[in-house]
Amino acid sequence: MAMHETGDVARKDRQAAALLASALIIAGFVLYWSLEIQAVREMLELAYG
Amino acid sequence: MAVPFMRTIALALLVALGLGFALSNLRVEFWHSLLPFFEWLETTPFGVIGKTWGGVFAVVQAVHLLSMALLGGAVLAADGRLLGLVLRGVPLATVLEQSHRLFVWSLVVVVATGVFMACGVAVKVYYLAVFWYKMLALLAGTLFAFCVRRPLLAHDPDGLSPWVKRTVAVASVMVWFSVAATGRWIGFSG
Repeated sequence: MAMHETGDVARKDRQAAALLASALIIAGFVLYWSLEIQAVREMLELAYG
Repeated sequence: MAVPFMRTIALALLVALGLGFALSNLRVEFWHSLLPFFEWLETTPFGVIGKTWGGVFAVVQAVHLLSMALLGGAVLAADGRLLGLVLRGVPLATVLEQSHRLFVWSLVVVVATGVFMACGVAVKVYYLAVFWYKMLALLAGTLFAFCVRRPLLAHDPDGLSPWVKRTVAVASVMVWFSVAATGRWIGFSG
């Protein structure tokens, strides 16, 4: 019983860590690439008007 | 006695430490302290060969790009299967196991050839912001693959919530896309 509960907690831990890490990566990806796209658009505007 | 949710707590602590480092003056001090190391890299045999023999650099770069393509293929096969888009007829555990083996070997070659290439242009890449974004993405991708994704999927991947699997797959594709795209960006910069 105790081993089953420990296994269940470990599984929930792995899932929580995966969701936290995934959320951080997705947020970082959106932030980084939106800033890059904005910078490139500004540079193109400066170059070609 | 084991602390419950140890992995999640450790991850949250690591992120907090990383953010503290990135937002403080420590990041700039650390960057300045790395310049002598990058200057030394150019004087190593790898740096001298990379700078002197363009043909050798090109061959290593070709191997780097081929192994990057293999790594991308392994990521797309595993994550595409997690998303239910490809290889639906093959058991999930089989796809994950075989793609992980390919992923590990291609990552080893990517890193080894990447170090050689960086030695040849060490001071140039030191001043490129995109190089540091690539290193950050590579570190994040490697930690995510071995410390989060692999332990999660190694135990009964079919029993996991579909939303957990989809979120992990999307994050994995995003981080490895960032590694490849920022790497390509280094070639366009400077």
